[in-house]
Amino acid sequence: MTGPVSQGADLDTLARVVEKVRSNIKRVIEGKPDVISSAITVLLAEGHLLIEDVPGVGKTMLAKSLARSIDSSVRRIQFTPDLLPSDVTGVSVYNQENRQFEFRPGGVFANIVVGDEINRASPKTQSALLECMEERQVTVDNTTYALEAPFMVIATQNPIEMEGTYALPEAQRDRFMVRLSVGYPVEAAEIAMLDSHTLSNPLDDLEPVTDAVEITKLIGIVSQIHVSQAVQRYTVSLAAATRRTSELALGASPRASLHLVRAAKASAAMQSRDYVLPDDVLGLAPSVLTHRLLPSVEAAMGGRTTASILESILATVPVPEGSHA
Amino acid sequence: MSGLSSDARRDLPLALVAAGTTWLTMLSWRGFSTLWGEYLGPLLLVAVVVATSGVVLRAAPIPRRVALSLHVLVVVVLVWLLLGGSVFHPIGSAHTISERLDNAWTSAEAYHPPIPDNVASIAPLLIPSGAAALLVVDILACWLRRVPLAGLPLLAVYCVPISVIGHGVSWVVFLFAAAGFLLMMFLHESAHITRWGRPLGGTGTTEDPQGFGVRTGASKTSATTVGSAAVVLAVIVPLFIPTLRLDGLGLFGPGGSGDNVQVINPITSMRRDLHRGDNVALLDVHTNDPDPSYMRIGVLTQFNGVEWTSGNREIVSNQTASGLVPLETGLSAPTQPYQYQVTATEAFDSTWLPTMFPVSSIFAPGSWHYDDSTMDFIATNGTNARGLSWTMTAAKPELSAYSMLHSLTAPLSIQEPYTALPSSLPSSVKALAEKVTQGADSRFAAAVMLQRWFRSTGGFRYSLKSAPASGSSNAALLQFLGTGPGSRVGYCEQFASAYAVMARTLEIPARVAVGFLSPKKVGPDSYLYSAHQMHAWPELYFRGSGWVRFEPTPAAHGTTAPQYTSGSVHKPSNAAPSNRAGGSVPTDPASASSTRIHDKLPNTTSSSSQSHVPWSAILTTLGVLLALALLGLVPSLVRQARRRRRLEGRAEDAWAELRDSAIDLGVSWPVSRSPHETGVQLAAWFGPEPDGAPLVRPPRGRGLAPGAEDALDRIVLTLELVRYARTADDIPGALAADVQTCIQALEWGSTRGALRRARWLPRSVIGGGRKVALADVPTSEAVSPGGVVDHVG
Repeated sequence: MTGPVSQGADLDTLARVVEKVRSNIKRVIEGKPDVISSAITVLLAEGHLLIEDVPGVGKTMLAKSLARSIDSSVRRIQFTPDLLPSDVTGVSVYNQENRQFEFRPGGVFANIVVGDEINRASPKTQSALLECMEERQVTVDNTTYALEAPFMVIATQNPIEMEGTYALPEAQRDRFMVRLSVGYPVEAAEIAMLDSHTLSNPLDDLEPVTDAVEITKLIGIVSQIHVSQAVQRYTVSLAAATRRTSELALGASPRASLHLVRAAKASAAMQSRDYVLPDDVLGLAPSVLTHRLLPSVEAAMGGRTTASILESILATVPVPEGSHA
Repeated sequence: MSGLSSDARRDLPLALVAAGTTWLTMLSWRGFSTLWGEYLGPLLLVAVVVATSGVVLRAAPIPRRVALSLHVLVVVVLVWLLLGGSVFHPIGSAHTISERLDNAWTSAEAYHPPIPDNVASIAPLLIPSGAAALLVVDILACWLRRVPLAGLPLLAVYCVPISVIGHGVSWVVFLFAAAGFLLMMFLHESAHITRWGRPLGGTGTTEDPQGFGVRTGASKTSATTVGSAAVVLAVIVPLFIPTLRLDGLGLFGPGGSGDNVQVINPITSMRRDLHRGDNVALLDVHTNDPDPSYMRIGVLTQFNGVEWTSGNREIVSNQTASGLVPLETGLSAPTQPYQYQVTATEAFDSTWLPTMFPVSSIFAPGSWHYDDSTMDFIATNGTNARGLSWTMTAAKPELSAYSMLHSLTAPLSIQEPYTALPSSLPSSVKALAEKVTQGADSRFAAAVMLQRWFRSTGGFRYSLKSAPASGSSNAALLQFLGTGPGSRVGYCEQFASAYAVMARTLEIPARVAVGFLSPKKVGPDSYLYSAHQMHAWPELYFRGSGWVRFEPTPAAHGTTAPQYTSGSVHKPSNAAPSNRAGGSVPTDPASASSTRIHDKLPNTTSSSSQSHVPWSAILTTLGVLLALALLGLVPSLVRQARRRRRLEGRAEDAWAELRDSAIDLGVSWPVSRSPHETGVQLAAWFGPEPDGAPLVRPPRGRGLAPGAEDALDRIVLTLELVRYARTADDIPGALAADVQTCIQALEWGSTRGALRRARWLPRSVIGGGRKVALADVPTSEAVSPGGVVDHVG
């Protein structure tokens, strides 16, 4: 996967596959094309997705439909307070027959891991999952087990239930490439959902439209998308601006810049473009950056939200120009 | 109510500034009357009421038309009350007000400004006029939000005294008015820009990227720059225009601080004193002059068709009656000094000091200043001649008819102002003057013939009782000079006025002096001037002899013709040799015609030789105008050169040209927009190709210029490829046609004003272009962990 991609055909393939996945998910998630696109973007950018929203808006449904659209190994972990780290990573058990310890893989050993209500698990368990997400490997009893590519964690969490939950700390939220909020459907989409979902569960009818191998290939295509110096400078300027402003106590990390560029590459590829535009970065910045930023006390008391502060920053950082006479 | 009060707070500054500016502009009306406080005081109250009631009514939750009507009603009622009306007795009040208006109108018609204080006040006329001006300015500036239009009534208010009084008004008033108007403009534009616009020449880092809200800093700077430039130009430009004078500034006068004062017309007091029932004593004089007659109070220098007035006098602070004073300008005849000690009685109420003419020295207590063009002594700072004692040395010139016969035409500085006559003067007066002086071959001869006509041959009769009441207006002049019943009867005022006017029609500089004729001798070297000896006489100017007294009033009043206007003319022993040995003063037209004396130089030659065209000022003005015109062309030329160069360049140049063209036309171009987003926004400014002449407000929007939108897409795509893709073809000049198509579509969608501004004052040039810079990216970023720990912990 080195050198420039043979652009035309590869990007066409990518666009075709993406469109199939998108159409598949749309059968389940009504009226949320942007959310679906973001989820696919994260998949192609090798990131992990955090879906945060109130109960019943389709968080799990989105995660499952994406997982089912791809013919790959899918595991779902229901996070509860008594979930142990070993339930996630796996555990070595003693096999009396051959008198050896055998490793029994945990829930994380799959191409797509759906972590439901991740904030219900104890920090210890959350930490175990997040380590796997970053390193894409599991180490148990001094033995390291690599996770199979593609590997994507789709975690959901509920922001309004505070009791008995352990909110993800900033450092761990940083490992998710994108945080999405599904939001309530528009009236027409909700009616359509009532129509389709009352007869049967559409998730059951969902057939895979691609497989892990193809997704891995698409990820390779995405990685070859060109990011110009100008766009790199622009991304760094954005991140630097979040660190400089007095309205934010915590700005974007270098990992955030990296995630932003990777997501922008996937976005460009999905639009059949082999180079990244500032528009790709601008469009993805809110979903990639917001969950990593912390407003200062003064800004929070002034009623400023992280989203509004970021919006102001995006509106002030100049888009780099080329040189001209 | 909070909304009401906040609306009112926003509205109040503009309303107060508008009313204040109008009132300050009305300070130019001070010259209308000596008692200007009578109308400017009430108008200040009207200004306050107009501003405050307007603010309250605009903020009140009532329909706008009703509120405006109420505003007008409030002002009308206030004016009604100020004019002495009563709300409870409207009919009786109407009668009173009508009477006051009639009286004021009579005063305004009868007297030239400043209207003296002993006649009916003209305040009833000026208060409603001022109130109307205040209301109109408030309606335009605050109700209709058309502040620039409010400049018109302000200009009218400022110009009224110029047209009525006939001279300029104080530059201080102009400064106040200009500053107030600029402040009004600033307040209005500031509010306007804050709501909708964007500042001129904002740079990328200071401008609001959305293009909606702005910081007013730039607009304040712009307003200050434009305003200051306008005021500076208003003061500087008159320096290069010969017809305007800035002597009032005291910068160009011969030393001392100047102060233009309005002087009370002395002819008014003369009329009053002549018509007194009792002949009260006014001046007690001790002098060694055997003939202390013709003591002068003041001279009237301007004839406006209604009456003779003293005009405006320039009072210089160091020209005081406290020692030696200059003899009159142009007097070269020998003089004989006489000592005078004068004491005014308590009945002599005058702000003019009676003096002989000319005087060489004078000592008068109080603040008396002389005007060196007339050598009148005028009181300032409340000084009055009542009960005053002063001494002076009169310098009586020994005038000779010979020198006057041979005198040259007066200098232009005297010839022009002292022969000026209103255009309304009937031509019959000039015809009559020419007929009477027919055959006179010199101006002095003509003057003498004219005097003789009035005194004896014209059939005039002196009468104080049958004199026309209106003094010396055109109508009165015609009646006085006519031949019908009641004509050719009058007293000194009519004789002096008519004589001076007729002399002016003959191009002889003339003015009317007012003073005392001859005193009653009450003891050795002691004389008494009383009210009935008040007199008016004409003075004519002859070069070398200065202002020479003539006496057209018939002998019945006790007047005698000056010695030099009768008898033969003798060549003075010290006169220069001449091929004309002498002549005689004409005693009749025939003898006048027989003399061979005439002016040595014809008028025309004299005028042309003495008139000087201020070539240096004209050339400087033309040079400055040319330089300004060239300076004005510079931005346009720079812009055109940039465009030519960029159109031949690559994609970045094409994009820069498109950006500058958009900025020139007033389209916002935030630096935080990507090329794609900018393209989307820009397409909304495209207009369709007009069928005929460009529209005032052309339509614009997406879909109106499909060709231009396609061209714009191509430009954006090329730019994106050049900037962000691995490789791209960037051929010089390839996008020139597309850029021109887009610029044309932008121009089709722009107003004519925007197009003019883009052509002559392109923002991209005037504002220094838009230097887009990347935000500074520090090489290493230190993250402060404190806040994080606080939050995480």
